[in-house]
Amino acid sequence: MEKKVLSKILTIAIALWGITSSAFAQYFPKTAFGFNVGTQGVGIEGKTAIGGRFDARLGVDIIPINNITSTQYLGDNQTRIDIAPRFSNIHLIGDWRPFEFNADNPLSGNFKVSAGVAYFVKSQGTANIQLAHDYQYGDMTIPQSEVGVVTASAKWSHIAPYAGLGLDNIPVFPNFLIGFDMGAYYLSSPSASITGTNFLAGNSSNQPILQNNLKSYRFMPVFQVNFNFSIK
Amino acid sequence: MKKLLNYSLIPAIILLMIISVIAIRCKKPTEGITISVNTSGLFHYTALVQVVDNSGAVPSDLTVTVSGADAAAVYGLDGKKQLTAPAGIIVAAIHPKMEPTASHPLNFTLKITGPKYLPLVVPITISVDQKSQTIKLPILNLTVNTPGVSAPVTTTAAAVNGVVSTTTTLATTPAAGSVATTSISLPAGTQLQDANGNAIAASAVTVSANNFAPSSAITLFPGGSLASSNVVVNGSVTSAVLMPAGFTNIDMTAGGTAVKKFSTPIDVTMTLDPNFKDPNTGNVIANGTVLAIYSYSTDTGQWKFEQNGTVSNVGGKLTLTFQTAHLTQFMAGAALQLLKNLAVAIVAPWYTPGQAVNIFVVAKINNGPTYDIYSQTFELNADRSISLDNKLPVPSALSSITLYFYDGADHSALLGQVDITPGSGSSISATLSTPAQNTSVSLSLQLDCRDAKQGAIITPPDFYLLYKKTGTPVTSYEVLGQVHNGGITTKQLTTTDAYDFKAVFNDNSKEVLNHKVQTTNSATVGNSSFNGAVIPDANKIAIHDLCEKL
Repeated sequence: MEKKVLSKILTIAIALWGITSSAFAQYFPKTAFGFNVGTQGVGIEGKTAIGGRFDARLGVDIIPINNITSTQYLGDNQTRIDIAPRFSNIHLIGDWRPFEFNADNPLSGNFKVSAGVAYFVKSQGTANIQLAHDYQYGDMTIPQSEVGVVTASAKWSHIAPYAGLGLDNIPVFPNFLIGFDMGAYYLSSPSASITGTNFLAGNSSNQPILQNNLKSYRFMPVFQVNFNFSIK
Repeated sequence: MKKLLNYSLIPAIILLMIISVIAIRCKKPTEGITISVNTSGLFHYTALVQVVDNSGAVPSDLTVTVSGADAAAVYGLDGKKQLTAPAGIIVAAIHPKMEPTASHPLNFTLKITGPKYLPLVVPITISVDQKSQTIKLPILNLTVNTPGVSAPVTTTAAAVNGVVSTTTTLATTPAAGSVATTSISLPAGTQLQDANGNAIAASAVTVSANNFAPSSAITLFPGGSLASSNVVVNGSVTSAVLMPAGFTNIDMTAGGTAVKKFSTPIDVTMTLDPNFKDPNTGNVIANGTVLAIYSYSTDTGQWKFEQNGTVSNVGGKLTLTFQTAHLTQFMAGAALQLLKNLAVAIVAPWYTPGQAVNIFVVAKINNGPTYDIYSQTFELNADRSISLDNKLPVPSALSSITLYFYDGADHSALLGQVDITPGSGSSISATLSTPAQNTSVSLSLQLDCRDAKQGAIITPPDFYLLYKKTGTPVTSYEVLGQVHNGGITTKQLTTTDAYDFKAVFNDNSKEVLNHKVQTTNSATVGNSSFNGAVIPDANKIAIHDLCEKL
């Protein structure tokens, strides 16, 4: 995940936290519906109380980013890398608020511990790598568009458990609540592949290197802000 | 506030730290990844010209210049415009954006010069269905005796301000087994001139000549081919196939300047092959036979009809005397119309595309001279076709042509033959029997460029691989094939013989000597990989330099 995106989301979350802290109060809707935005993308979610301090959430998320482009030297050649992350999931998560509401501590009843599972409809990233410039071969110039494309992709499993913490049910306006989630999906070690076309066809030998580089990419972090409307 | 910290912020911070640690310990996805450009397959059309020195020496210090209508399309395999000839091997590759079409074959000329060699001009035609061709030609070493060529003879005549003082005559000594000679008579009072007709102020003129016996030295014919599309007849450029009864090269220098012209014509007499049969008449030449005399410019690669000459019998030798006011190479013989288009479909069910199989094609004319009028090696391709456009004469009822197809690995193993007659049209087919096939051998090579700019092991660009059996002369090198994607598969090698291999990549040439192959051979060379057992340090440096050039 891009560091810039993470940074922006954290900044927004912390700012909202500060703005709303003065309005913390005890309010637990039985059923709520809302949307969220965070590192896992944007999504919609329904939530219902299932007894005691337990809630259940069912929702879908999708990362709406189309492409992220950067330039980088990979060996001797400067390349342009277009990354297309494709992640979307349907998740079912249970929340447990371990602390009773305490008037001395406005956040105590809002703190939650979460666990659940997600089915990732899509869980892959694809990077199209091209030379940043035309290729000079001796006295010949091979246009960049004719040199070829290296396609590197990584695919994760569809099922991933989730664990996290958060604050929930913080009222901003009547029947409008916000919340925060921090956690991670635990994905399988990805399977990586590299293929090339034209004069870049020989770069599949990089596949074991990419596979090794990505083997630790198993946690999909979730920093998320929830906006919920209480239905009843 | 304290409780807020205890209940939620501290766990959140802990979680954030955990996630941060997880993120930090992840490698950058692109770490260690190198993107390499492999130009194998960049060139679809190539021609290999293998220049050999029949004295047995490895040709050296050769310079190659490219000219002609399509010279702009010609590059080396390394993408450089400047072609080179390491060990006499030249590879001309066609820019992929300037490839031939059915209606526009590419024509260009290679001029190969060296300090001790007679300049060699090689016209090359690349047609749309001829993606690979090999032209093996001898270049005349002027410093040694060559079979079929009279020993170099030189004489010096006095001159005053470039005007010959006394009549001087030079005659070459026939080569062993030949009666062919050339004699030149330089009359007193002749003004020596340079190529532009300017008088040369010199006190002496040095005259030298080489005479060629066509029956044994036809491969030294100027231009490397009897066929030419650059023949001037009565002021017009045309094409023809020239068949010499004799040919000669005459050089003169005065005061360090090449003499190219004279104020008055000089006499040249050359002896002819007494067994030469004129394909236009089907008759062996004799006293009174009229032959055409052509001159050849090594500067332009152009033939020019000079005059007709009458054969004389002088002392039992057939000779032809003519006058010329300029100097160059001359031939006397017959001229036939050039066959513009001839496609040969190869019927070879035994051929497996992808295997490097070479066929040596020889053409002979019936009712004509006995020497080969054409010979060239072709690598079979998936199309199973060979283009002989602009290579052969138009067949006639009197003088048909026969093509012989030999095993490229064994020129004595005839695989098939086919006649070209007036009714053949522009396409024929030839059925080839199965050549002696050894076990399939594959060779593959990778370059260890980890210490060079690539920082990786890479596949080399395409290059040509030649081979010969260990112990045979260097002139025996034959093309094994073009190496694509670092590999070649062939049945031309055995696993029992030792071979010398030569890899050629424009100005880079590398030999591996006395090597036996296995059925599967792979090697990564350079850097900390294999660098040979004989001169590993030098090889390592050479491969590093090559990597940096790619």
